[in-house]
Order: sequence, then structure tokens, then C-alpha cells
Amino acid sequence: MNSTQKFWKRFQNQKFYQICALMGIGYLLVFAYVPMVGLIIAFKNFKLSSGIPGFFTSEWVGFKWFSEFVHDINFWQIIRNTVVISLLKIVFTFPIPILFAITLNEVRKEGLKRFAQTASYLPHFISWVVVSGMLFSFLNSQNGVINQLLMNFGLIDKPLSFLASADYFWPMLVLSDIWKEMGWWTIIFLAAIAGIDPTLHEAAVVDGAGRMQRILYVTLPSIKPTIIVVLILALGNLFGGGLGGSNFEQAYLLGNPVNNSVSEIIQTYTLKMGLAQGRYSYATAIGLIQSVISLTLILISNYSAKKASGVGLF
Amino acid sequence: MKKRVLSMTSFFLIVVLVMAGCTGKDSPANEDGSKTAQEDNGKSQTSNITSWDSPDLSWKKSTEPVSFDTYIDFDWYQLDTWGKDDVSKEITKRTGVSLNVTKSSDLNQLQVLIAANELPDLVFTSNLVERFYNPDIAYPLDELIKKYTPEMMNLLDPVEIANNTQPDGHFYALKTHYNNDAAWNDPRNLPSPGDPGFYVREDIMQELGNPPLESMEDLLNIYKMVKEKHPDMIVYLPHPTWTNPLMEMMGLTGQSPYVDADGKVHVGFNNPGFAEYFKYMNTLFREGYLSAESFAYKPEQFSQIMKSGNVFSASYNAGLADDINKVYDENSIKAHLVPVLKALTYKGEAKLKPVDASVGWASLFVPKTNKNPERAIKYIEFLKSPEGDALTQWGIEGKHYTLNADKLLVRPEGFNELKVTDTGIGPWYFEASGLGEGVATSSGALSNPKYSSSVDLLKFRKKLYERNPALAFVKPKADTDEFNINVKLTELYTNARVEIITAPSEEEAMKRYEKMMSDANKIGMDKLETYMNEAYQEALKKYKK
Repeated sequence: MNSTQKFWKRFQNQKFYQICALMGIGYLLVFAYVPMVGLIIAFKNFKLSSGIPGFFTSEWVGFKWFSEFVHDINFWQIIRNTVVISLLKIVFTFPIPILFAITLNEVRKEGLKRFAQTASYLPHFISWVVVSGMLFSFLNSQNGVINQLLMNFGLIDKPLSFLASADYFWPMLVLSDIWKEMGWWTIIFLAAIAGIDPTLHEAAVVDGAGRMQRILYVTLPSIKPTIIVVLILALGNLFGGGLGGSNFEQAYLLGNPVNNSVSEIIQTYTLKMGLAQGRYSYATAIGLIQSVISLTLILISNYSAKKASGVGLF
Repeated sequence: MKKRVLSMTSFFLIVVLVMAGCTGKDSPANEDGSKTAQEDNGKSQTSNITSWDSPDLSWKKSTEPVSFDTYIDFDWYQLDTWGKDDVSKEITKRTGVSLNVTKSSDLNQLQVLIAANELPDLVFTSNLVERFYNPDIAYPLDELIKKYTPEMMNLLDPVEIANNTQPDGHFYALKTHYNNDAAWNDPRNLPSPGDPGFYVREDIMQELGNPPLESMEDLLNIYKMVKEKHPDMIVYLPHPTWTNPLMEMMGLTGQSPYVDADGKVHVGFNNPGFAEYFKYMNTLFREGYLSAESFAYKPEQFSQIMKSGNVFSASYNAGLADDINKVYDENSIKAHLVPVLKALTYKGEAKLKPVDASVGWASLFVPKTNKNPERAIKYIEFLKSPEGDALTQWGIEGKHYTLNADKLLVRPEGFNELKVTDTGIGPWYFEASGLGEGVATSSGALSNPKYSSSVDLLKFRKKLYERNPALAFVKPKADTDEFNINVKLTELYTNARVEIITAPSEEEAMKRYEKMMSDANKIGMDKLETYMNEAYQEALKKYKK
């Protein structure tokens, strides 16, 4: 039996699984790789009127659109907003689900644990459009609940303009993202904690370890691989908004002319100045810049994680 | 084994081809074998018909049922279902045309439809219409008219044709709500109800002893009194997106281009008068009469706050007082808004002079993907005729209105309780005339006198109007450098104006204003103005002919 025959024999034996894998590959090819052909228009003067054939027939313009974006008067402001919002969200939203999962794991009352878990992950299913409406109702200065509470407690003299102030925009994004996504990501870490061999904890108890010590020396090291994989995924989607992937939705729905100096990010700018104006080449060039930065970040974070802990995605 | 390789390869090919099939669409006109206008080029006809009343109009001869997929590019549109209301049923009865309507849900949807060559049979839009001024995307109406409805060329106003004719010599749509001089001067006609209006609460003015309101300075004084007497009340609430009437009072046009004393066209906010406007608005903000949050509201939030009855003065379109007073009355809120029917002076000078390019508003396009361009242009002929105009803007004669001796509409009893979803009056007016709308608006004073302050406001504004159709031609063409500059300037102004108004001091406001102007110059305002002036001079020549 030659090697080709062996290959087909093995394939025959694994037919079902191979077909499943091929369907997945086919899906990726069609929906992830074939559309990448469209990136070509970032280097061309593509006009809407030329339709799909225009991808190939329109004239080459080199780096014209990249240069236009880099020389835009708002370029540094947009990059700053994108980077700061993304970093703030990674720094504050990433550790919270881990801490929450550990806390839930320590809760002994099963009913309370279940209630807390369900209550915390339900907001994940509410769309950002609804959340932005809720934020308006809670935070507006006319009759928002938060302002009224703060005033009733005597903490402020006059209502704070949460929605129309550059100062409150970034904290509002981070806090609302934590509220909405914390519970959902907690599930992954809870699953990782559930997979820890109980004998490790038993051995630690025998050795006299307290609850805090068991968390530090048993639970955390055991879920480290999960933490690193989730961190790499979050970093790969850094500009998309990390775990929640909600940068665009938040900036688009909660951004307004008053907080524009801190709310305009690459994605909203692409929509406004590119897609909404039918400037697909320009929009593609901006999107490509973001993709290249994101890819670089995922490669660096994967490499660093592998170096530091031996755990990586690839 | 080869068979397996072949079948695997075929599978992938099929997947890729199916996906490719999703992205392109052959012209339905070719699918059903019907000919396009271009295929029949050279077969243009002429006609001796010179009256819209002629029984030989082309639309009257083709009334077999036909359905058009229609895209309405306005997410706020009142109706998106055909055949459930009186007017759409009547249109189908008279013309055989029915529409399968899709309403825009996203501002990018139309761009995607154009790029994917998946435009429906008809498109009604006012956004980025320059993209449709292209024979590869839309049929030039003049070609369709010459071929299928030649009498229309005799019946259309030559100035209207000139208004809509593009540099390639074709017109691709006839903008709605156009008024020629005769129509504009008709005493029944009024400016658009979308015109800006400035309102104050009559009940509170009375409570304050009706202090004088002749100037912007008087307004500041009144605001001070309101703030003292009603500290929890919103003193001034401007609509977040609408043209600000206070700006108009100072002779400014916002982003819209204006012509200076030397006849030169400029970008709207390049008017030096903006420095004073920003100072004034900044004073309103610093004194607590205007909140920064008002610029952050969505239109529906503006409306919600207006309805609460806790606002002293506001600005929006001409219908705000009538709409809100109705809500106050229905909810027994003791409040009453009235429009300010004066050109308030600023530093002793009255500068309110609304400028109208007078060429109209939205456009109905016949994309090249239309499956029956012949019936499409005949449908347009019907809509354009006085019969179609009256049906779509006024309703069915005898059922929804009768004309009185002044040729104003007299509505039957109970008409004001009817909903637009029942009557269909208004939304299907894709070729509406300005006069038709003006008559419907001014007739509102007859049918609903209690809520007709918009009529007073529009009558007041009409007297001050200046018409300049050449200004409609200064907008740059899509995909040009000037177009991109214009887009960036609009974005700059939208954001910078709020930053200037909400500055903590007048000095800081002026610093921000200077930065906006400096950024505008960096973006290329000069280049855009050079283009605008050239286009304006060309357009002026057209109107002198």
C-alpha cells in the first residue's frame, strides 16, 4: 500500500470528522479569506459606480488613502482615543471576570451562587442600543436616577452632565462594559476552576493552607493557561474592545458632538468619513491600518505569553 | 480516487460560485427580455400635447398592473407599506402601479446597494444624490421622456429642467418641492414646514409681564428673568440637528454656502459674523440658559423633553409649537408655545434673510436595474401632473378635501383625527410640487385653526426670503477632492461648534473658534471655495440665458 492509498484509507476511516473540518475550512475560506480580495481597493481609486468589477479595473493610487488618513487633522486624536479606550478596557475589564469567578467559586450557598451567576450574565444578552437608552435614562441631567440619587445624598449640588462631558465618557464606557460583559466571561473562568483536580485543594488543606493561600497557590496557577488564552484573544481584539468587542457600538451610540474629542475612534471615523460618504477605498485603507496593528499585537502577545509561561495560541 | 478529488474540488467550486452569485445581479431588464432606453437610442419622439389635462398623456394609455421595488432612503419616513391607505390604493387604481417599498434602516445601505449593483426599480433619496448623476447607475430622465413620454418635455418648466440638468447635459431626477417664480408668488404658497422656527412659552411671558422681545439682547434679559423665577426650568432647548434660528437672526447660514456682498460664494461658517454668534451662544451656555447636554440628545429625546412642559424656549422646524401644544392640551399641561414672528435685532441690526436655492429637495431616480423603465417614466409623468400632485399631497378630492373659492383645501369633519397610515396623504409624493405642499400647509389654518401657528411663522418668513437657484450648483461632485474637503469641513463644523459654544470663557470660545478656522484652512477650504465660485459663475450664466 503506497502512501497515497494510506492517506485515503485514513481519510475514509475519519470521513465524518474530516468532512466537518472541511466544512469549517470552507466557511473560513468563503467568509474570511475570499473577502480579503477586497483589500485591494485600499490601494486603488475605487468608485461606487464601477461596482464589483471596479475592484480590479480601477486605477492604482498606491498609499494615497493611507497618507490622507495619517495627515488628517484628527489623526492623532482618533488614534489616541482608540488606544486609550482599548487599553482602559483591557486593564479594567479583563481581571474582573477572573476575580468574580474566584469569588463565586468560594460562595458556599449554591442558591446564591446560581443567582449571582445568572444575574451577572443576563446583561450580555441586552443589545448596546438598549443599553445606551438605559444609560440615557439613568444618567441624564434632567431626570436621571443617578443624578437624583447623588443629589438626594447631598454628594452634588447640581446634576452632573455625564452624557455631555468629555470627562465622564471613558469611565462610562469601561463601567458599562464591565456591567454588561463581566458575567459572560466569568463562565469561562468558572469552567476552568471546575476543572481543577480537587486533590490539589485537599492536599493544600492538609498542608495547612488557608482559603486565600489556596486561591493564590492552587486556583490561580491552575487556571493560568485559560487566563493566557483569553488574554491573547482579548489583545488580538484590542482595538475592537477586548473581551466585549464593543468599542464601535459604545463610541457610536454614546458618542455625540460634545464628547467627540474623546469618543471618535478609528471605527466610527471609518463609518462617518468612509462608508457613509461612499468612499470605500479610504474606509478600507483605514480598516487595514487597524487590522495590521491588531495582527501585530496578537503575534507579539502570543510570543510573549509563550516565552513567559510556555502557553500560547499557536 | 480521482473521482473523490474531483468531487471535493467541485464542492469548493460550487460554494465559491454560489457566493459569487450572491454578489452580482444581472439587470432585470435584460432578464425579462425587455429593452432598455439605451438600446433604443435614437428613437426619441416629439409631441404636440401642451396641456396636463390632455387625455392622450402617455401614462393614461398604459395602466396594466406593474409593481416596482422602491427604496426610500429616509429612516424617519411615515409609511413603508403600499396598498393599505387611500392614496396608494387610488394611485394603483388610476395608473396600475404598485410599489414594493423598502425603507432605509441605515445611512450606508444605499451605498452598498449601489456598489453591489443591487439597486431596486426606484430610489427616493436626498443623500449623496451626486452618485446617481451617472448614466451607468441611473437612467437620464430626459432620455426616457423623449422616448416614452415626449409630451412631458412640453409640459415641464424649462427652469426646472435647467435646475436639474447636470454638466453632462442630462437630468437624472426632478427634485421635489420646486417652486418657479409664479408658484412662489402665489399667495397660498409657503416655504417648507421644515424651515427653522424659534419659540417661547406664551404663558410664562405673560407671567413675566410680557417683557419686550425685539432683540437678541432682550432675549438675554428674558432668559435671566426666567432663570430667576423658574430655576429648574430648561431656559433654551435647541434641536440637536436642526438649523439654529438664532444663527439665522444674525444673518448666518450654518454650513450652507452663502454669497458675500461682492458676489463671492463662501463655505457657510467662513462668514466672519460667526465670531459674534459663537460669543452669544457661549454666553447662553455660561449663564446656564443652554446646557451642553442639549447637543447630545437624539431627536426623539429632544421631543420627549419638549413634551414634559419644562422648557421655556426652543428651536426646531416650523411645526414644533403646533405639535407640542397639541400634546400639552391632551395631557392638560398648562403651557403654550408660540413662534417668535420677528426678526430679532443684534446690536441694533436685523439680519434675518433666509436664502433658498429654490431648486427643490429629494429626488426619485430610475436606476439602470429598473425592470420596466417605460412604465417608470410614465408613473413619474403621473406623479408630476397636477392630478398626481393633488392626489399625493392633498388626498382624494371629495373624500379628503374640496377646494374653496380661494383654492384652499377644505377638509371634511373628523379629518384631523385620521392618521397618515389611513389616508396616505403626503408620503407617496415623490414628484411633489412646492406649491402643492404650500397650499396644504396654508390650508391647515382652515381645518385646524387651533394648531396653525406654523402658517403664521411661514408667512412671516416668506416675506424675508431671498431666492438664488445658482447656489444649488456649488456642491462638489462625488469622488472629487472638493467633495472630500466638503465632507471633512462639515464634520469639523459639527463638532467644533459645540466645543466653542460650551467653552468655559469667552476668551476660550474665541480661541477654539480660531482653531476651527485654522483647521478648516488646513483641510482645504480655499480650494473648495475656488471650486464653488467657478461652479456658481457657470450656474449664473445658465440662468441668464
